[in-house]
Amino acid sequence: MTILELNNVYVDIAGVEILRGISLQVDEGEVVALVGRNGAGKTTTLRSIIGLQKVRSGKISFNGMDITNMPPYKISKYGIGYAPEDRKIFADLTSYENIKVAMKDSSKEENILKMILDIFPELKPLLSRKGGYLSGGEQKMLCIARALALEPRLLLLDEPLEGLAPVVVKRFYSSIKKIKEYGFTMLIAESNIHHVPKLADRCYVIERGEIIFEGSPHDILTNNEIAKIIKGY
Amino acid sequence: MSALIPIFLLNGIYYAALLFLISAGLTLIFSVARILNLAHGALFMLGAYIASIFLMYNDIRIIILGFVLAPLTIGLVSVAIERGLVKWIYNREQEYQLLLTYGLSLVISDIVRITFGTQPISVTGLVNSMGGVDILGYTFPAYNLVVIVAAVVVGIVLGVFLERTRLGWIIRACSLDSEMSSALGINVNLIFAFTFFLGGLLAGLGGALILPPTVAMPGMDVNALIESFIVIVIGGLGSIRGAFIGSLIVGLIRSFGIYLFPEYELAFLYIIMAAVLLIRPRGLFGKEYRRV
Repeated sequence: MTILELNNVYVDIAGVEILRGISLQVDEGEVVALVGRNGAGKTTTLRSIIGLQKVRSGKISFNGMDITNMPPYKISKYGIGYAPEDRKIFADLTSYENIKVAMKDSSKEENILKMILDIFPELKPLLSRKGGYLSGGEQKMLCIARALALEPRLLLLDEPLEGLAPVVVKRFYSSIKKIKEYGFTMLIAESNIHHVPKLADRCYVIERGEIIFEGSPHDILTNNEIAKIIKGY
Repeated sequence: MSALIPIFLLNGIYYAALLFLISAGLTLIFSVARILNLAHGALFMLGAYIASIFLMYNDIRIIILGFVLAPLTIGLVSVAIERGLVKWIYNREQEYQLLLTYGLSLVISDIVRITFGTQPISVTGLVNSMGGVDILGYTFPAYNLVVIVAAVVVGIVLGVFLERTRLGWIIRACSLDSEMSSALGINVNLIFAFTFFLGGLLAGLGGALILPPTVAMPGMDVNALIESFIVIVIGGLGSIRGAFIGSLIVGLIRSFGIYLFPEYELAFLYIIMAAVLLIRPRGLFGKEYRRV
């Protein structure tokens, strides 16, 4: 069952056309990667889905409902969680408070926290620490944990592995796998082609605001032309 | 002089208590909505005038009603201002908000003049009936002690609310990053409106509490606004703790200054404010703000 569908979406930022007729779909339970080099339009696509970027034309449907240009808080309440690339942790709030802010239903707090700490056990001793005092990797974990606290039907992860040390990247592979095991559907923006097979079931390649390829992660790695475009050399 | 210190201290704390109520609202609105509300002083004045309607009676029940209804009314007026006018300029340059809120302060001042007249309104009955408390041989008005206690209670409740409740965390989250808060399912517009309500409530409470020992009169808004600005510049824009400490500093300097250096008392406040701006531009507890 298709949970997210983008149909011919165009987005302008400051008069410049950033997305040019993007169409993609994500099925329930899938992990889909949106792969492309920096500036290709990955972040803009995710921001358009969550409502942070105005769509000029086209349609975004979530769970059969038209969510194009809806306020972000409504889209989030309908079941989309968003973890931005730059983390945007509330620095003055503790890790626990960051998570709790996103929690819609306090009666489920125990279960949600249990799930989050199962996925990211490293966060347990950090719950009382302010977000601003966490390392980059810890902030990435908290950022995803905060989005999970919404109990979303679809999780948008923008470059979850960006800027992480190689050893931490391996750690994140298993976390994302675990998130999938919990049944969350994910759309992951990723610029490193080599991460894709370890993260996604299916992927789209975006270049200059257009989807230029759709296939399995293996297809991308074996398609020299596409790999060249993503790597930029 | 040393024998008078406790009285100057209490007078300073009393004045600080009133300043805290006004400046806490001003700084709360700024920290969440990034709006420097120049109409805040006028709302404080309106609170005093609305309270005067009730406080002129000798019935304690009506007086208490005045202390409840005046802040609530100002809170609602503040929300109406936010929903009706301010929300349209959130994404505009700062000049727009300054022009709008300054214009509003003039409009509110004129409404007060037209409705209540230009003569000062005095309702000293409550202060007189409460009498005084003997402190080290000096009589200190019992009403002023009540105001101090009220401000401390408000400060504690506000602190606990912001630090210990989910709604408080949400308000702080919006103050840190309204865009991300919105992506987490928070209706930021509702939080902005609620913050304006809280800010208005505090301004109205300050206006109601200052009335009994003084008078309600045109122009009282300007002094309140200027001194609140001094408080939040010293304490740090956007910080409730800063408003608390800044109010204490300003209140005590005013109290002791009136006795020790009456000619320079106000100048001294501005010198301290300028020194803070030079040494620590964001104030003692302030943060650097960016619009998100």
